[in-house]
Amino acid sequence: MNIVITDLSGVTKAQLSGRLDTANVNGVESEFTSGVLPLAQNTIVDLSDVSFIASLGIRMLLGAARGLSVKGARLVMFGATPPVMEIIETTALSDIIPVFGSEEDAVAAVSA
Amino acid sequence: MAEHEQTQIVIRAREVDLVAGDRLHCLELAVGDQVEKRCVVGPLGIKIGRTAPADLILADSEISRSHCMVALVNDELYVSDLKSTNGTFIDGERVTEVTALPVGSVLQVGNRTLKHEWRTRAEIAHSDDFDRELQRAASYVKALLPAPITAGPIRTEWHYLPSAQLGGDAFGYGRLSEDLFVCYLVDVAGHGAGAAMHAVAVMNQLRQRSLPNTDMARPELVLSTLNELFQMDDHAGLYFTIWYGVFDRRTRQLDYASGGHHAAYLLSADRSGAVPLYTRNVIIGAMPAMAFRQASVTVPPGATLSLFSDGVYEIIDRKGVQWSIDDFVALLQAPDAAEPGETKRIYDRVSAVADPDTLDDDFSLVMLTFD
Repeated sequence: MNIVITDLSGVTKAQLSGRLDTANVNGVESEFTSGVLPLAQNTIVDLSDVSFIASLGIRMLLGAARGLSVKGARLVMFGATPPVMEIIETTALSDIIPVFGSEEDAVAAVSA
Repeated sequence: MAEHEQTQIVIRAREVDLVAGDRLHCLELAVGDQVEKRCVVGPLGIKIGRTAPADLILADSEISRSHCMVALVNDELYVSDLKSTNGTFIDGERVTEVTALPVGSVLQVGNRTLKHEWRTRAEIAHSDDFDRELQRAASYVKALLPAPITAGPIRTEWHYLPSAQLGGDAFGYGRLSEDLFVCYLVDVAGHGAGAAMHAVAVMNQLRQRSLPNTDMARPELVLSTLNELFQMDDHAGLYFTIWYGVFDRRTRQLDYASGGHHAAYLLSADRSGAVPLYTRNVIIGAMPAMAFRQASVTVPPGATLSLFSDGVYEIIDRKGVQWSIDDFVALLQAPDAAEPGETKRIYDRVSAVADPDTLDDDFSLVMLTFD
């Protein structure tokens, strides 16, 4: 599980890759949260290289979204593969954290 | 020197832990940041393998029956490979001869990694105490689960196996009134005592068959109230998913709602049909003031309702394929499924095909048959 966090001119981009399963979340959650929250800016999460999300992975994303919301910023996701999208839809996570097809759409959504 | 002039040095028990000689060499198998298994290496050393008579048995298809030997020599650990098929590695380097395993280094056998730690007895005892506390928590959760109902128009059976780290599964069922029968399953995200305590808190609300200003016969209202009561910001960041249903024996109607939870399945008496029962609602505790919706289905005579947690199917099989819920439903529909002991038999089938590393969540399967 890898996380790459970059700044796209005022928008934080967090690129996740690998399986966001229980063991991996324990290893990367603090890195993800400490990399995203202190910036306190709109954030897009790239899921295109994520092959699986367990409930703890959803908790990590929800926690970041709520933490950013308190700071007046939004978190959205993009690029979910069909198996990951199925998990997101089953949990209705997309009702809370919107999911977009492309990075451009995600940036446009948080910049609107 | 006279005897009474000798100096006596008294070492209190607490201070003994700081003496190097009291430390023990341990191999620790970790999942995330939790130690799943610890093995103390004594003077006789230990043999690691996939089956007995190895001292440390690790269920991993990549590990040979007798894989490697770890010896204790002059208070240091040394590793020798026992002609294993896939090799033994120390910090990524393959072991080709007897090689030292320094404290802090990682021994890799198959897909498992074991870290060499040098622990005091107090540290080990503390950790063992924590394991025992988890066992007690697991026993407590189990004590809250209802007994199977083996006779009458509604019969139930279940199989519950908490993971080594103890997840947050819990379930219940029983009469809501003379004609109404309720059943539910909750799955708190996370592992450990915290997740289990949260599951117990939710269970205790539901077991009372009473929530503030809520008609317990209406699943959408039950989920809505639970969502307000258990917001994750107020509960250490914990959330849960739930499936909740109420069966009316007069009309044979089952009203149900799922909150962030996958479908339950209504299986026909001959298991030829499996109808998913799902309503799209958010996870409980994720966001306040969300609207919840419910749905209804007519239950045919002899049908079986199957409720389960995601731990039963979120596995990778031994061929490396990620399972989906459809793979699990196919097991529910197996020809010999509809016989007593079904839930245990299904668990046995899942554990037979799962990579042991990935069967790492609570396994909860509840089946209710309606005559």
